[in-house]
Amino acid sequence: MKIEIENLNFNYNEKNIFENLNLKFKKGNLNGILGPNGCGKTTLLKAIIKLLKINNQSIYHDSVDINKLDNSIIAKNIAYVEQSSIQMPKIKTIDYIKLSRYSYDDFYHINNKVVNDTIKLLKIDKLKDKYISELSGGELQKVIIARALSQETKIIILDEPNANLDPLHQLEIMNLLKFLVKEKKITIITTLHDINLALSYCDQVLLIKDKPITYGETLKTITKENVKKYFNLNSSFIENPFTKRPYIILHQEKN
Amino acid sequence: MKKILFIFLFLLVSLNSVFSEGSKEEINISKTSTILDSYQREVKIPNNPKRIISLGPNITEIIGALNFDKLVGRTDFCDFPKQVLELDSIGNITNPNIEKIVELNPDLVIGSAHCPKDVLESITKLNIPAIALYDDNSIEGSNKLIEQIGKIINEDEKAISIIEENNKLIKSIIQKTKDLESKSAYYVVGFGSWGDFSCGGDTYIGKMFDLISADNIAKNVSGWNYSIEQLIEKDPDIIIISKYFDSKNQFINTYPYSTLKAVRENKVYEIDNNMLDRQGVRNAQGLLELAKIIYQDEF
Amino acid sequence: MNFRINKASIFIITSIILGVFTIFLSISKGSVKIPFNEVINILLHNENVQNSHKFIIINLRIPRTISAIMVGMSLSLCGAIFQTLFKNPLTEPYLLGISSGAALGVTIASVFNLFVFVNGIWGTFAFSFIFALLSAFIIFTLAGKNKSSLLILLLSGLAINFFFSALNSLLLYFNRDKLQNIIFWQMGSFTLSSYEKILYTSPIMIILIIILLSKSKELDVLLLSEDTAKSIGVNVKKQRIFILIITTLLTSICVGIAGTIGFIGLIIPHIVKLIFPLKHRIILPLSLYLGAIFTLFCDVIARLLITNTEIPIGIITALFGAPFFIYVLKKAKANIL
Repeated sequence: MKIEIENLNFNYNEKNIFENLNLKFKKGNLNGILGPNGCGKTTLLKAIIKLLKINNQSIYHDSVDINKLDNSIIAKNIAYVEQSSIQMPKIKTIDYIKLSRYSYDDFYHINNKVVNDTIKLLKIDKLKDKYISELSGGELQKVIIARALSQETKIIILDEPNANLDPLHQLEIMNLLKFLVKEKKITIITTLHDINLALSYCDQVLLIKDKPITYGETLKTITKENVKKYFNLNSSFIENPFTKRPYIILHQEKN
Repeated sequence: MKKILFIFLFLLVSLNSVFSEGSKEEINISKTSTILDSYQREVKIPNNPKRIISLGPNITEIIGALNFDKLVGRTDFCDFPKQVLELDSIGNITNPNIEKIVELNPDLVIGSAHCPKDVLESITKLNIPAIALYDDNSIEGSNKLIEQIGKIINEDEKAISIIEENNKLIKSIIQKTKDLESKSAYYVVGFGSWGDFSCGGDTYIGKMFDLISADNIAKNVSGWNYSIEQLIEKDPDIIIISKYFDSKNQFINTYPYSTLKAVRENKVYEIDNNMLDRQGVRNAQGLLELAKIIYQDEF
Repeated sequence: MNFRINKASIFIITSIILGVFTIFLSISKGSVKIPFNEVINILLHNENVQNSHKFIIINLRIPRTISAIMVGMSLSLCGAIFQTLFKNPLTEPYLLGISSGAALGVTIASVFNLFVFVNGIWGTFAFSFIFALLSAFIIFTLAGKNKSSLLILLLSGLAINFFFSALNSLLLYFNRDKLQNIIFWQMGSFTLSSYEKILYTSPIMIILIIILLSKSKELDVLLLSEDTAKSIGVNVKKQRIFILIITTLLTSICVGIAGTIGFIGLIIPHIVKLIFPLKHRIILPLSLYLGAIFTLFCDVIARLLITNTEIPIGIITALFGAPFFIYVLKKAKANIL
């Protein structure tokens, strides 16, 4: 299943967020979207799954204009993981995960195979009967990913999954995403604000700021020039002794 | 000679002033008197009011019967005697148009039990005496009210004659009805979506039923609250309902009232309930209408 | 798990017994005392019964019981759904201007003597129902393109409520003689229940209830944020508007039948949610059931509290509803903390 964007134009409050944007996400990769705040990361993410209305024909799922696709069809192809800071209703974890089966026939199955398998895979068995309102940030984010996974889609989109997490849980989540890409062949598209996480885990990165976007292999895309261009920061690279991948140190010039 | 003239002049002047003083006092005495109104307010009212505004339909009826020409203003709800419709209206009972009242230049304003105290106060503050007059809800109460108003507006004789006439009528009704057999009757005060209300034994209308030896099915109830179940259970021979607001038509066409014996046998009678409800000159007439309805040809 | 099942089954069994008991109570109790054995005789179509008693039981109390059940079910169902849709525990099904619209309709009809055109038992029904729908329609129109936006609907509802209430007060100010009538009607009553009314309103009410019950899946998902619900496959906009239209219709019919009875839609869903998990295929049917029982119970009290007369049921629901609500609140606080 591929996502293609052609000549996307998007205005918000008379500000051109996207102009003639062209993009083809790479399948089976961990795609990271980076960029300064307010540049349109979340907007792009939401546009891809029709959470925002794009008037012109610009976004295609498997070559079909998404404006022609119903919510329920899109739901079987792409799952969305919202930030864990969102207010949650007072329901149990397992009931929450079961909600993912809305577009399928087994919504009301008491022992739902897909849901049970997901819980086992993500090792969240002990969270099953807790109320999601009682979970910690890291636990909740995992549970939300579990729900998205239960939707049995080829693509999962995440909106700043590490936003409110401590370092341990941040890495846990990224490892989980890497696992899903490698073992389950799922395409992941996630926004991040930590460049180093992108460097360590992403196969492809998309840099967004104002007009020209840059999309490509992580190591080729996150360069000193691009960091300056997109983040207005100076940078220096060293090697991460654990992953052997580049590690960036950022510096702001006092001007 | 000068001395005699001087003494004569002095006597003349003093006598004059004595006589002038006297007549001034006489005018002062006949101008106003202080009365205690039904709100226990002490108000100075003119002895011979000629321009009276009524703030209640029953007051209008009483003054209209005593001396119509003394009435210069009425409320929106006053409709009897018919001629009052030609008078200016000062608005509604509880919140009349004070400016209009002033404009009509009355020398006395009389309100009923429904007139709020502060309305009367605000009128009195404008140097227009305003009083509330009401009595117990009963024939005696009405009579006392007529007598009181008669005294206040200087129509004592007329008041007494009206009271005597009414009492005579009432006596004859009581006499005539006391040996008659009464059918069971239900008096509709309210029905349907607005709740079931009738005249309990201790209400003024209930007492009127007693007066004419009529069988009020709600007599075992105290107050005005009734219920549809009781009405169905008692299934009265006669139903009496107000002639206003299309009440009879609504009643006989509303289920389950339409199943009552009295409705099926066409024994639902309309009455001008204002005659009974308004504390005034028409209670006796109302009683007569009630007796006529209950006893039909026998009356 | 075992403990849970026990608690639930005790609740269900108690509810069934309570339900049957309350229905029988509703049929056998009222302003007129009818002895127990006579009630049984009447129900069994035996001969030696007093005609007026037979009429009261068959033609007054049984239709009343049925109406109370229908309205009680509907109001609590709509209340539960509104609480989910608007994500607000304090919502009543009258939210979208329905109560103020209905009251205005009845006032207008009363003041301008319009009941001559629709009299009988359908008088107040017609005007309250039509005006309730009218105010909901105005609110939807005001919302314009944002019909499914909860905030816009809430605010429009508030505005319409204020406006219609003001109009209502204005009309009543100049027609004080009608004031008592309107207040009595607003407090709600099942007095004018009849088989005719039930025949014409119940089928559509049942259909609407079934439609709403079928939305359990959607309502479960609608508990989540709008974006998440959309991504799971629910057409949030369409579903919200559809559900709102159905609940508006159903609530308007209830108001037409019995006036604006408060608290049922507010309290019952909360009580159900306190004991049972937040799954609509459980919450909604239980709200139906408990709503019916509670309304029946209140109607019986309304008939018995003061001898020889009937109090408007809205007073009873409020009298019982308010302290009940405080109790529920306390328990909820204990649970959360």
